[in-house]
Amino acid sequence: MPQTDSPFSGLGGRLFKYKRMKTKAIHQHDDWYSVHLPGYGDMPKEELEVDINVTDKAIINMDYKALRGAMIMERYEEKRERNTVEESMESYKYDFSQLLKGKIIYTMDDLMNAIKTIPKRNDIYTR
Amino acid sequence: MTFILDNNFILDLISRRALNFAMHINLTHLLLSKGYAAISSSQLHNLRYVVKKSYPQYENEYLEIEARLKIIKTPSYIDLNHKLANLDIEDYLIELSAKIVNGKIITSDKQFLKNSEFAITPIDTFHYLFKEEKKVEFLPLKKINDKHVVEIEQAIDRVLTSGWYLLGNEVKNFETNLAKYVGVKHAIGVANGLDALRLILKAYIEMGIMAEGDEIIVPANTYIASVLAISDNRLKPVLVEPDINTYNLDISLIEQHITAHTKAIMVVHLYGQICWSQGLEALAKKYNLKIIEDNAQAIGAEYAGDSQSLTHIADSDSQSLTHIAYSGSPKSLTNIQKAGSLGHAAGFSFYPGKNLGALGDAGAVCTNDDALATMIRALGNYGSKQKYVNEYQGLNSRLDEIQAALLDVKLKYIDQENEYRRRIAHYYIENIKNENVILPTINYKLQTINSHVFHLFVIRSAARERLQQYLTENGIQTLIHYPIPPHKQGAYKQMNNVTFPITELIHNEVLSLPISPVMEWEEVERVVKHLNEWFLE
Repeated sequence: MPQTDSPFSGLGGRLFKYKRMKTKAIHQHDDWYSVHLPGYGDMPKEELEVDINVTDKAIINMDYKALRGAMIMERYEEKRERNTVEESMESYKYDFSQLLKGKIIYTMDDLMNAIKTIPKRNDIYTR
Repeated sequence: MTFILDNNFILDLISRRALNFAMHINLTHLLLSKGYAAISSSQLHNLRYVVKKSYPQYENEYLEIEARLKIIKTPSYIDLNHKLANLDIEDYLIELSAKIVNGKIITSDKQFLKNSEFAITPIDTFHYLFKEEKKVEFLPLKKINDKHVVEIEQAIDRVLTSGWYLLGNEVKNFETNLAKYVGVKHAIGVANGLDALRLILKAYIEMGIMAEGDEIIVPANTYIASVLAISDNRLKPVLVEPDINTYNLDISLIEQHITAHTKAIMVVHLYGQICWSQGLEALAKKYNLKIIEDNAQAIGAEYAGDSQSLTHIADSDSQSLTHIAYSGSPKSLTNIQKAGSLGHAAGFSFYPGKNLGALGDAGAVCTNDDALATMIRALGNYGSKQKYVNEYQGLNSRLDEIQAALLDVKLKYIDQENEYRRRIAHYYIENIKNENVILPTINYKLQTINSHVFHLFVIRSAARERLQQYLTENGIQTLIHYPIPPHKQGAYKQMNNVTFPITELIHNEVLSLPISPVMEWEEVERVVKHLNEWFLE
């Protein structure tokens, strides 16, 4: 019977949903073949129960740009959850205060105001 | 110094989700304000996509930050079998960009940190910057060229894809622009600064104006190239002592050295300061001598005529004149001429460390003399005006297309960069207060401080070695220009017994302080602070 929500290894499965179905495989000519695929109606003696993942039709039908976008988001989420180092704030306090010379910024708004005086890239290279 | 920000560093900042958010924004600000922050071109589309999709409310903030990041190209030499490429192709592309600029990658990603020697954590970045902060490099060439890296990349790509590498349009354009900038009719690109001077003298010999054994007056206090150019042409260098204040040729001493064999005076605008006067011009006219400028160090320096009115101020306190004149060329001054346009011919050097520096050796000759220009062009090209027809026994001394393309980019910024050097020099002169240090003197006979472009800022101290050691211990890199005068070199054994006391005194005491168009103001202040704290036991 078809099943859903099986994470595909390596992608995390947050965006890509896969349908799971049970099928049977046969061993012919030194290889295994699914009986549900066209052309394999007969069931020989050697048989095995297997689980395989089949991608959702929606994913198969995605064009390149949509697929690329989905992959970028997927990758971003994956990296977000990847182990990140935890650093002690104590270890850099002295360097931090020396380098910033008291000009500490506390909020994103402060940062955006502070960088207004920094030339933009094109200004840097054309001035 | 370049720090490539990993995608998640930027996204953590934009989304305000960083664990140490305060540290994130302060590090970002520090890197942006120093011009160190960058991303790889391979990151751009991913970052934009994620911000647009996940954080549309912060898209404008992202774009403001992105506009201030350097973009480092992804090179074509990608090794897809590289370990990191197999682990994570995106991280590998970022690493390649970091390799190009010899930069670092800031990330908190354990996998990236483990697998790339370029990756460092945000906090390690602070430690790294703190260590770097203590050093003042004498002349950070990479940083100087980084300033124009986009245009330089474009120029090099243009030459590479043109398939034309010598005697092409890049050289023609640069020669035209250089001649216009200097204010002369002709600029001829050559292989280096020494060749520029050699070719001028060789051309005069070919033209019958000079002959083997003729004498050329040249300062004793100069880099050896000035003297080599003369002796290489079998002419005789006649060394003359410098002015102890300006370190340039003492013009008042020239006449006593003129003989029936004297054919030219070679003036050297040493350290970037013009060596010229109306008296010099009159002397050359009186004895029918050519004046050749060794302008290896003073591109952009200006001569606005001699000033009698300011002389008395300078005589009493020459340093205060620097203060008076610092505002630049007064508008009332007319007929300002640039170094390299004053004499009959001038040799320029574009050695990488020069104010206008190439990515290797390069030079040029500037002149208003049509016949001389034609002769120099031929002599630098195997003595040939027409391919495979050689009229003279020439040299192969040509400026190549890549250097010309690069120099043409940097020529546009030379006045701006010289002005910044003058600001630093002015600050040094005003603020270094140490009785054991002698500061440079602006030539008080010239009307503006623009007569000096401070290729080098040279101080003197009787305890030079101890001072240099002290500055080194405090992270300040200095150099000596120059430790041995030409007449004491092994190359001129015949002159080793001659004495030039002023020249030798200068060579024993000079020390060059850091000065460059990319020097940060904190660095300038640190140099002053340490010099003022230095005392002799």
